[in-house]
Amino acid sequence: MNLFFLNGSWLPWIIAAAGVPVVIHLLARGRPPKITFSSLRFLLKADGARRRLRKPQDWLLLVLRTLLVMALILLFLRPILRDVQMQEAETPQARHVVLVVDATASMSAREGGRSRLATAAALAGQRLRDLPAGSTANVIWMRNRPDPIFPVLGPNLQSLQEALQSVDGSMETGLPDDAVAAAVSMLEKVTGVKEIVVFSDFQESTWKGVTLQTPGDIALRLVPVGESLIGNTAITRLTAEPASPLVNENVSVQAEVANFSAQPRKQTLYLDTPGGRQAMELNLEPWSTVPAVFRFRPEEAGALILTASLDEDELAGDNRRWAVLETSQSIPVAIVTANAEASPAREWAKALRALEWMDLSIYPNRESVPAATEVLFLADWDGNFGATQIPTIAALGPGTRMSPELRLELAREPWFVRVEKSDHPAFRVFADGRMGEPVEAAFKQRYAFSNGVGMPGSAVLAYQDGMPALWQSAEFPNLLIWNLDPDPATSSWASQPQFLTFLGELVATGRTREGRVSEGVPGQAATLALREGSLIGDYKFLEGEAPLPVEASPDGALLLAHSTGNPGVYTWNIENKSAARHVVNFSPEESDLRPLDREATMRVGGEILSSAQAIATTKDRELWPWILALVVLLLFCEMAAVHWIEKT
Amino acid sequence: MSDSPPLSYRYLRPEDIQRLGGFEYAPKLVVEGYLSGRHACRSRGASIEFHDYRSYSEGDDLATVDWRVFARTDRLYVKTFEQEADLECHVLLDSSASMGSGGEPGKLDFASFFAAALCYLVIRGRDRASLHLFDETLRHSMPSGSTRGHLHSLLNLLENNRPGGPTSIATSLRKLYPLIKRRGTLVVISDFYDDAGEIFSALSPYLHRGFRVHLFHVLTPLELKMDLEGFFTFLDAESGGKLVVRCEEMREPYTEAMGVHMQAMRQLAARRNVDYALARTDGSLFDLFDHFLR
Repeated sequence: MNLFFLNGSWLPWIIAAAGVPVVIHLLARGRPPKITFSSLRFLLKADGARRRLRKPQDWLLLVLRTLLVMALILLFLRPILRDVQMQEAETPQARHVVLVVDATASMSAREGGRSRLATAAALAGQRLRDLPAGSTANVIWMRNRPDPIFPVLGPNLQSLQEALQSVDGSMETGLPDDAVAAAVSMLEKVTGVKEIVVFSDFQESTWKGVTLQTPGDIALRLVPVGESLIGNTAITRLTAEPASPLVNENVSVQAEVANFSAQPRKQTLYLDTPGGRQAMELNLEPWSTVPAVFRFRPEEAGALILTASLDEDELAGDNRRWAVLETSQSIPVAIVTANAEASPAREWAKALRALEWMDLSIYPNRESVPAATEVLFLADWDGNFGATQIPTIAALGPGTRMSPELRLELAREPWFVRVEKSDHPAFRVFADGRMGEPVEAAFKQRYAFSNGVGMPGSAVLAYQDGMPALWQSAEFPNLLIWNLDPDPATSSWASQPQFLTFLGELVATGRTREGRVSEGVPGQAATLALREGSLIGDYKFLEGEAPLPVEASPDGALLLAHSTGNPGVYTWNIENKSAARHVVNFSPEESDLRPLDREATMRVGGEILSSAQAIATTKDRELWPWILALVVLLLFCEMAAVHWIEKT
Repeated sequence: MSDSPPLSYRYLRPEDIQRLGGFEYAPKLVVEGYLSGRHACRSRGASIEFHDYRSYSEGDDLATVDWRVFARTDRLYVKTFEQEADLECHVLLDSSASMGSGGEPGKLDFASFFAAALCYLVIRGRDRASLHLFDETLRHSMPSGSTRGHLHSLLNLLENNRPGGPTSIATSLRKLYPLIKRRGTLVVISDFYDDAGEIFSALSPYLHRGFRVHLFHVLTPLELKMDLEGFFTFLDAESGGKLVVRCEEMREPYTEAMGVHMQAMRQLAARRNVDYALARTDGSLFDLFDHFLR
């Protein structure tokens, strides 16, 4: 059995701290006044007598107090009795060890005044200190990707310890299999005694179902970090509907707050928008999720950042969440027609111009339609959809070439239209019935398909005989084929208010914008398509005002930014203008801090060690409880001695 | 002395003289002297008065045997006689460094006041006074005299006296003894910071010769009671040594040690028929005369 000190490095600091009151006492004590006395003869006699009288008492107090101070110092140094286990030989053998330290977001949870990551790093550091001479080691941070400190194992244990001491937490998720696989690949290159030690909180959401396989010559040891179950409250979702609202359009912001604890909690959820802050009190039952809905109206166009927040708790990273709204003043809509005075272009234009939030333009051909157009109306569609991603409402007409061929049909009896796909977003506003039916008109003219539409899809609206009136292509989901004649000569629909409403909803719900907001989790690379002819230097990826490194993908088509470790809103700048946003939010699966139970942990594989046994080469017996008892005993003895001396 | 100009010295002021008017120096011991005076003297020769009988010892003068008593009692007794003679008072004043400490008045001042008054009383009574100053040895000796001029010299000596070196009372007593021709009264005024046994050993010749010895133990209230509070650094006036003590803690053992010393002095004095008195500097020296001259 050998005596070691877990906090041996504290000794100089403890001695320095112990000296401070002594120095203060020596500096602060005043010099007693002097007095000339006839003779010290009797004073010396008296002093000697007094000292002789007090000597045994002084010695007793001195001994007790010295023992007390020594016991306190020993307590801080955390001595352990170590029974060093020799694995194979009588003499300690060099080992090759890879320490996998869980550095995911859940390890940032604070317990006992420090994060679990700091605890894990300290245990790993202790593990390194106890390795026999000649051992090699490495540390792999288990994050979004395995992140080894060195590319291979090495004898520079001091550098590894320094890296462990200075580790910062991350908000990333982790992949245990990948981290252990990386450790195995390192150890396969060496011979000798090999082991992998995993320090983790073994969070259930990360480790459930994980089974670690290691070759037979590599020992696997698991060290669960964390003494107790930490309760946590998190914002797990934040969305806005619509995601791309117009200025002054009502926006519904929906958040979800989860209580990952066994106690009910009361939380205040805040939502910060450009218009100000809103707050909502939430009562959270144990292990429950509560929705919260805020409403606001954006008053300006642009990328608006929404921030939802809670008061900070033991895991602070999931107490804030972001969303970005792309708000615009109006929707750019284009009508392509050779004859703006002919139906349906004429009726479309008349109705769309009546909506002030439409920015309508009419073009003679598709090539002249600007890229910023968000919805395209094609009159006299020739049957070719093309490669555009813009939502297109293509009206059947004489120029349409589809198989089988269309023919214009005149009604003997008027046709009426019914809703076939009631869940289509364009019909939402008609759901409560106050607006009536979207198409409450008779039609006398339509195009007929002799044998189906000729393309995969489904009818959104259909005539009573089943003939499609508005057909959504399955192959091109942005394409709606229009078979509704709004010409007043053949239908009264265009004069009904529902025509305007339906058209507006079709545009508003069908529009898509070139993706300018992307989302990701911490550590996941943000990407942006590189425009043809652009240089990589024209692009910047910013966290606030700070630029972050950017690189091009191997095929040169995408820009990649890997430095997304912190949750928040990042900005892509192209030629110093904000072009896109990237929102990084905490991964909700990291918020539930419940660990695997003992059995599930055992199924992961390997040998499970307690934190106290984390140093796998040894079995330690902590002596601090005994020393603490000794300190208490000495305190009582000292108090009793002082009391006895004063009495005598 | 009453027709002379009034004395005014530092240690003998007119008001002191006025107060001393009520005292008369009349010691109890019978001493020998060759000048006729008012004092009894035990010596053969011009005997005046029968004093006492004592048993005959071999060697005694047969002329002094009282044969009438022998006829009556069949036992041999000799007579002793008294003769008045001049009294000599020898004042031995401790002027060591330790006497220099003390408040107001200091010990040396207090002792000097007393010595001055005593010399005045002796000389006023037409007796002879001598003054001897000592520290570790005799520093200054003024032989006996009874004139006014002699008194002036004594008072001047006192005025110019300063505390000297360390104390050695026994050495000083031994050095003084051969200087004193006639027995008389020996008054030792000191703080007696010396070994009691040594002191009385040095006094033995005086006592054997028939001196009447008075010891005045001069001490300050601080030396008696140690009535200070808190930490003090005590500096030894003679050796320069230092001792830092907390007076509250030291008070009891110190007063006990001082008491033991004083008790030893008292007991030795009582055993040797020496008069011993405590002279507190915060008391009146005239109270000492009450004790001394009763």
